[in-house]
Amino acid sequence: MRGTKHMDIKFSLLLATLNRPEILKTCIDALLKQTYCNYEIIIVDQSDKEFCDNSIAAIDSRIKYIHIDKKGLSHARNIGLQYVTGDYVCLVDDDGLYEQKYLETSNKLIKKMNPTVLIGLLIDPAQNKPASDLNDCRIGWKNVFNGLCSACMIIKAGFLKTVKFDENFGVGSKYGSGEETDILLTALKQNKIIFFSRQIKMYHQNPIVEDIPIQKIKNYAFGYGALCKKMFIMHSKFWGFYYIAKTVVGNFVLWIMQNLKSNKDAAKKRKARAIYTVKGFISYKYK
Amino acid sequence: MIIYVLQPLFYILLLLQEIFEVVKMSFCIRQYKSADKSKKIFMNLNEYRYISFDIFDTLLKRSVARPSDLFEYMEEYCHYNNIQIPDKFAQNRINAESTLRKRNGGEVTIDEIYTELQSYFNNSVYKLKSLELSLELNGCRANPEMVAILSKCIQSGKTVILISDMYLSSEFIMKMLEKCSIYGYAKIYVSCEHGCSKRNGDLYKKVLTDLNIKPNMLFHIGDNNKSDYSIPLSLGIHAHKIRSLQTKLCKVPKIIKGFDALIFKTITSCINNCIKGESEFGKLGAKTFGPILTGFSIWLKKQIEIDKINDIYFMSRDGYMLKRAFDALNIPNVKTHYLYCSRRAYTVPLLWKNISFENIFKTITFYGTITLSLFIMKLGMYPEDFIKEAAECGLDLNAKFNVDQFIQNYKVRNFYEKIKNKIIEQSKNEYETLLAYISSQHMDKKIGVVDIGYNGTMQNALELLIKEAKLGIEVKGYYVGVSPKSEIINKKMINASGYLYEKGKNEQIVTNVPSSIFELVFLNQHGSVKKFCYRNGQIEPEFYEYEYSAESDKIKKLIEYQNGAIHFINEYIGSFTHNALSISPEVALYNFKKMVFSPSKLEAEYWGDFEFFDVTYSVIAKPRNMLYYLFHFKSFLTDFKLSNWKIGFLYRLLNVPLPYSNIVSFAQRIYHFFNK
Repeated sequence: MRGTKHMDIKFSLLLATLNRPEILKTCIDALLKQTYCNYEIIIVDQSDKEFCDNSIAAIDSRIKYIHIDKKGLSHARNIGLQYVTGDYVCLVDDDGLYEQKYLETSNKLIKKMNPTVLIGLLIDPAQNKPASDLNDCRIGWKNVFNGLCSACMIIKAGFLKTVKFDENFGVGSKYGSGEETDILLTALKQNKIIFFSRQIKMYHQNPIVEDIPIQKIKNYAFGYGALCKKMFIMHSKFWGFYYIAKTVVGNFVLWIMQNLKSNKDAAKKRKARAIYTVKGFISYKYK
Repeated sequence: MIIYVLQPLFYILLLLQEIFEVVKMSFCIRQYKSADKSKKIFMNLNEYRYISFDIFDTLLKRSVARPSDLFEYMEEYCHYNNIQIPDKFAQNRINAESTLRKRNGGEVTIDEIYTELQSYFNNSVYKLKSLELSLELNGCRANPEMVAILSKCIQSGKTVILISDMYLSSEFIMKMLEKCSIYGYAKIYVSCEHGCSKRNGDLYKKVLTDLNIKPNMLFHIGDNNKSDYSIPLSLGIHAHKIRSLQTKLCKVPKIIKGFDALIFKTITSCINNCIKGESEFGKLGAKTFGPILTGFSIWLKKQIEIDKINDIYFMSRDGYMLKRAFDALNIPNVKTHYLYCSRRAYTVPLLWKNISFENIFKTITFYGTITLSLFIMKLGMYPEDFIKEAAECGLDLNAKFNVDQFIQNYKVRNFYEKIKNKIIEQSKNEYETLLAYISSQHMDKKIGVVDIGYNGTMQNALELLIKEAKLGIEVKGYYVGVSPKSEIINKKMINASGYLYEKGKNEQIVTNVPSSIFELVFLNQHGSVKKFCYRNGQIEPEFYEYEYSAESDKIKKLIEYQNGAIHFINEYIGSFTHNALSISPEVALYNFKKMVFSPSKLEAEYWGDFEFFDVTYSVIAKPRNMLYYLFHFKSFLTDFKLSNWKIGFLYRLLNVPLPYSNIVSFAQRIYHFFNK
């Protein structure tokens, strides 16, 4: 069994990409500059054939390149997991910018805390605003939806071998979001340690609701509603009810307030968020 | 502005409805998982050669919820059967055991307990020991789920050991196991015989030494958290804890107190024992209808013993289930019969004797609202034959009156005078055949008639017929309930008593219980008796068409419901309780009331869809959708008023579980306040 306390931890950076070869190359270049060296990069490329580029694997011996035809973030990650040889899996976004000490700091924290999931802080580079207001803490049912993002999640490989990503969730599937929170909920259900730390940082766009295109809001809300239902059925009824009620009622209130302010566009987005959350909740069917 | 309220409200309601569906579904998933449990347990056992089982509450179930409840039963049993028993026996029996355990520092035998108990009393208590043992033996049942696992273990060649912390001897426990057809185990270890218990782990050590095996070669199954799970695990023995029902069985609603609480626990225990493998409606029948039928049958048995009656007639159609229940008691020397009758078939033949308009209303009971059609039908004729006469008197066949208005209406009286001769003719024809049917029954000189009850109209008619035929038979009526307002009973025109309620006893017990559902559960699967006629020289009943299709899903479920209730009776009388203990009306009705006052969605939909006949046929509780009522509030009020089960009506309309019972009684209070 691989120990995590005395030996150096090997990270498997799992990167799913679709039709963005330029961004992918930039991302890989940045990742190769990490100060911590014991890692591998697994690229799962869902791009159409013309973008497919095997030469990426030649850049560094630590890179594994897999091309698949089926689209869907969760599916791509599940395929990538089959090639993982590390102790921890880092979920990496191709358009994310990771600090050079990202893995080094993670290594230190993992040795100290031995968490099942370690989550870092996402910062929006445009506004230099963090996505979460949490301080370093253990994540529970109360704060699992508090600005945590899959792009800065590091998960024990052993845990991911027993729990796969739900392919109904995530970009490119029926419910366009929520795949990472689904994993967190499962970990919480199994009383695993999830730790959030502001010491691990990465930069990624994170606009406020009012700046996101309405179609994206609908996708996110649809996935969020479905995830709440899954949470309701599989994990904790109380928290499932709490989150769905909070989002639906809250957004309807905001819709009314934005209307009173005559802010039609923002009102429309709030209303869409509330309605699509309900729709997502209703449409999710547990098998 | 209204859109800001309605739109969120609509989506929030949609969301709530979905949440309730999900809660219901996750409940089903949990049930499914637990149903699959026995398979899982057996899969775990595959690797082990030696399996041990706990005995009580694992392989064997008892009719009592707690072992100490048995001593209270003993007290009641002795009082009922005139057996001498010292005062406060139950408490002293418990004290004797605990004193002895403290003194001996552990395990005791039943002989030692009774020797200790003897020192508490002057009279001999040794006879009570054999009573306790016989009640233990009678009251034990196999737990089919666990017995199936045990049989599989034996079939696959494993060595099965039974281990129990108990004061009963292994010889006696073997008798109990034999009664429940549990064989094939290698050995029984009982704490009182080995001087060590499971609770401190020594009995397990003894088993391991005897078998000469290592702890990890043994797998133990039991229900107690400490002695069947933590202790064996701490010794290195693999263990599996099955769900204990003790807490569930010991729950008694606050309103049920004293000895009734003990009966309630026994009922819950019997329900739990008999519902395994039953369909959804079978379970519901055992739970809600079983206690009523059992309580009534035990009450009836006691009543006929007092009244010295051995010939019982169960009146159709509602007497059908009562007969099935009573027959399940298997009482020797009591003859039971199913007597075909109906209000229509027994009252119409007597009308010609006193044909005055006022007498009609004394003989036939009319409630609330009445129409001319209903009046004609109750007189045994068809309304369509009298359209002309009604028109001549300026009457509409379907116009509604209240009963007093109807009696005082001169047009109605004129109409009645016009059709009087036809009534006499019809009545006389039916009189002869009915008399022949009664005579053909060869009744004893003293008979009991049994029915669901209320007014005693049919018993009154039967007694009049018997008198007319000079058969010299004394009749006593036994009913599930008799109306405190029944003139026939209050003026002592008949001799009748009720189990659940009668004048001066539990008069309010069925307040707000929908009569339609209460009557429906007793229903036999044939139409109401119209009259009697000769067919091939035999006198036979002629029926109205059965209201429901016998093949319909609803009726199949009703039959499952009724069968479930009969299974409950068999379970209950299989225990020792029926020899001594009556079920009080409150306890018997508790689960039924719970079903009609706070129904589940399934119950609301099932009962709500049945039709019942009041003034006209209407559905018990079937609202239209909410959107329709939002725009047609008047029709909501009409439908709500017509519904016989208002709680079910509101539940089906709103689809959200709320305290409808309180809402309905509040609405009723408001209605009465404004209609004073």
